[in-house]
Amino acid sequence: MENHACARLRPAFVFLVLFSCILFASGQAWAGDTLVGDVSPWKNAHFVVAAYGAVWLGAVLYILHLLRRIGALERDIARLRAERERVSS
Amino acid sequence: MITKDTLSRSQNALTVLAAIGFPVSLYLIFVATPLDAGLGFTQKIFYFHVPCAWITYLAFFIGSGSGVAYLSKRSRHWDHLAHASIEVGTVFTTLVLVTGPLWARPAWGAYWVWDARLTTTFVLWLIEIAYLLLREFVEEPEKAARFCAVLGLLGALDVPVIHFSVVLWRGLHPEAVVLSQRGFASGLPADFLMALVVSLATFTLLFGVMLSLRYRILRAAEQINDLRYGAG
Repeated sequence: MENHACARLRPAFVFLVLFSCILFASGQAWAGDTLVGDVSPWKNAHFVVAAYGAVWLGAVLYILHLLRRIGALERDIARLRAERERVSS
Repeated sequence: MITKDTLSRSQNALTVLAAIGFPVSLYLIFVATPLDAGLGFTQKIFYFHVPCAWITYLAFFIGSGSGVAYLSKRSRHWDHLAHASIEVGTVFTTLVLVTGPLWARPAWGAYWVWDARLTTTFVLWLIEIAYLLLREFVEEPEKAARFCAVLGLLGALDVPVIHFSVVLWRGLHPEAVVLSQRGFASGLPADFLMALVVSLATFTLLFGVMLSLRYRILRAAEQINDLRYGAG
């Protein structure tokens, strides 16, 4: 069945693990004990860019994953319809 | 009932518009908008933290509204729409909970504090996770749809609490700058506002694309079940 729990939750789990890795890896070098105001305005720029990149890359990958699923399901529908017609004729 | 062709056409239009909005919003955020005097580059997280929060509200609005429509009409179309909306909304709520701490660490000195806004958003995320688990683990589709419609309505009650939490309990989280009591985006410089509006529009289009794709998948899965087990 399409709604199998493990198969459905796996991409979300991978996404959360990857995002947590980015978050905690960036947290190590983020600002340390220095707060905004003590540092240059460009401090942390690479993390903001990385976060934007991760969000948009994640969105594109998620959309591609959904498109692949739709393609597979529509092929299944066509196959099942063809089988049904063959059986009824 | 939405036909497959209408859905594909509107989905293609949304995808093209989102693909155009994406580079435009990045240009406005990183090139056209000046650095914030206080927060520096970190403030740029605002341009996707706020749109993600807006999508969280929108997803729950669509999800709970479709849940109510399902309870009154018992049409699977409304149930699929509610399911798709809350599932995609969960992705955006997760992004809100990730991007917020990225900003909070340099601004407040801590990734997380149990502020009213943060706590109520976290509660909403738990409700969304509970919604998805309920979908997976209740075997009868009719029963799952009914339970989830009720849970979606309960979750929707949390949305105004989140929005007004900064006014009601005055925690660390900054007050709303877009939909505030002082009017729409009051006090936001014009170039910041332009970047925010384009980013809001782009994320809304992105949500539209994801929602229509998830809806199509749920409908296709239902069709397969009907073909396999003879309901259709």
